[in-house]
Amino acid sequence: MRITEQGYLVLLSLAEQPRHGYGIVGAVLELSDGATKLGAGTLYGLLDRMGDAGLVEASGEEVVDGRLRRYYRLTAEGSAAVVMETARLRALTHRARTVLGTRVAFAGS
Amino acid sequence: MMTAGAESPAGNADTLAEAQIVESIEFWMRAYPRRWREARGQELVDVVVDLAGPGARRLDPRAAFDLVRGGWATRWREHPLPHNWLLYRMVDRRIPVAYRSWALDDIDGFWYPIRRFLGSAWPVFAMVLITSPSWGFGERPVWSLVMVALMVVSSMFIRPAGIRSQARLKHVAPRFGEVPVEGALVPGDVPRQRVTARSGLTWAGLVLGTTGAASVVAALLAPKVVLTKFQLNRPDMGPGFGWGSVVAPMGGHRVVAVAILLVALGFGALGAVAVRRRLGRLLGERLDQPYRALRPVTASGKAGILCSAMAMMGLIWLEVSGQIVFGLSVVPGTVALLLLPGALVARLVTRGADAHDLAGRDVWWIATRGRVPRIDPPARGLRPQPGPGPEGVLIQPHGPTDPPYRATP
Repeated sequence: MRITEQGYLVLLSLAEQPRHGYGIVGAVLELSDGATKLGAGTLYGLLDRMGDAGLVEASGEEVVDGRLRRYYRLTAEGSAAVVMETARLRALTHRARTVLGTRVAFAGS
Repeated sequence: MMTAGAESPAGNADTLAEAQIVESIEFWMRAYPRRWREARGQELVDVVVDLAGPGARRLDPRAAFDLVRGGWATRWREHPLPHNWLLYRMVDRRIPVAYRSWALDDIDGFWYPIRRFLGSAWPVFAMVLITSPSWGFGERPVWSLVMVALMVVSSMFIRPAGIRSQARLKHVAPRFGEVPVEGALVPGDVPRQRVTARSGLTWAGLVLGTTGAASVVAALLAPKVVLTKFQLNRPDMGPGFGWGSVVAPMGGHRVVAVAILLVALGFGALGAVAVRRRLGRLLGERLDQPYRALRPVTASGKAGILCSAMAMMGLIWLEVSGQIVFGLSVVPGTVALLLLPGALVARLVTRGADAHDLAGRDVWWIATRGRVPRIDPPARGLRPQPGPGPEGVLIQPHGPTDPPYRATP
C-alpha cells in the first residue's frame, strides 16, 4: 500500500499511543503544525485501507459522555511501515539539503 | 438520569442542536454502504459531532462533501471487479468470498429484484424492442416500451422475499471447506416471517375496495363491449361450428355487468357472516407459534399494492374512455367484491388487543377452512453463528436438506 502524506501522519499519530478517531484528527493537526485537518470521511477511508493492509487494528472501545470511542493501534507491520517511511523521508530530506545546500544557506543568511 | 446541564435551557438547546446535527450526519452518511453504517456508523457520527464543535446544528458543506466522498470511495473500493460483477448479475454466478458482504447489501437492497431481473432478462427486453415492429406495434412503438416497463415493475413483486432468501443462501452463506467463525451468517432454521393480521387486512381492504369500486365505475360508464356470437353451420363457412365477434354499445349489457358485480358483493357479504362466526369461534383456540416472526406489510409490499391499484385504475380508464372494450375489469372486480366484505369484517374482529400476535395467514386459514391454524414450521435461512465453531470443523458439503444447489469448493 502506498503511504500518502495523510496516511503517514495517521500512522505517526498512532505510533505514540492507541487513539480514537477524534484523537487521531487532533494528533494529525498537531503533527502537521495545523496544516492537515482531516475530515471524518477521509480519516475513516484511511483507517479502512490501512486496516485492510494490516497496518492498523482496532484495540478496544469505550463510551465517554455518551460517545462511542473505538481505539486504533499500529500492528507490527504498521510500526515497520512508519519507521521505513520516516527513514525514506529522512533520506529524501538529506538529498534535498544536498541539492539545495547553497540556496538553503543563502536563504538562511 | 439527566445531567444538570441538560436540565437547564442551555443544556436543552445543546441537546436539540446535537439531535439536529446527528440527523444531518445520518442523511449524508447514506453514501456509505449499509453494512458499513451498521458496523461503524455510530462511531463515525460521534467523531463528526465532535469535529463540528458544540452547538453546531448541521454539517458545513465541506464536512458533508467529505462524508459523501468517503462513502462513495468505500462503495467503490468494496465493489466487485467488473467480470465478477457481470457474472454475478447476468448469470447469477456465485460471488467470490471477498465480495460476500457487498452481495449481502445488494440482496437486501430495496431494488434488488429489479436489478436481478434487468441483469438476467436483458436479452428478452432487447428481443422485444427489436422485434416489436413485426408484432403490429410498429405504428405505436411506445406500447412495446410500456410492456417492457410493466415486466420490469412486476419483477419487484413476484416472490421478492423468496428470491432474496435464495440469493442469500447462495451468495452469502459460508462455502464448503470454510471454517465457521463467530458471527458469520450460516444456513439454519430461522423464524418464518408472517404479515400481521392488522397490517395485512388494512392493506388488503384498501386494494380490494379500490379494485371493486373501480370495476363498478367501469361497468356503469364504459361505452363499448365486445359481443361474441356462436353459430352452427354458418353459411359462409359450411357445415361446422363457428363464431364471430363484434364491438357494440353497452346497452342492456350494462345491467348484466352491474348485476354480476352486485351478486359477487352479495355472496361476499354472506361469506363475511361465516368469517365472523369462524373467527369468533376459533381465534381464542389458536396455538402458540414458536417459529414465527410477525411484521407489518413491508415497503415493497406496499409499493406492490399501490402499483396493482394504479394498474387497475389504468385499465378502468382505458375501458371508460372507450380505448378498449369493457370486460377485463369484471374479473378482478368480481374477485375483489367477493373478498372485500370478509376482509372488512375480519379487520373489525381483529382490532382487539388479543389479536396483536395474529398473522394475516391465520385469518385466511380460519376464514377459508374453518379450522385452527397449524403451527408454522421454521424457515430455512441464514443466522449468525452463535460462537466459534469447534476446532477443525469445516463447512460440510451439500446435504439432502441444504438449499437446492451444490456448495462449490
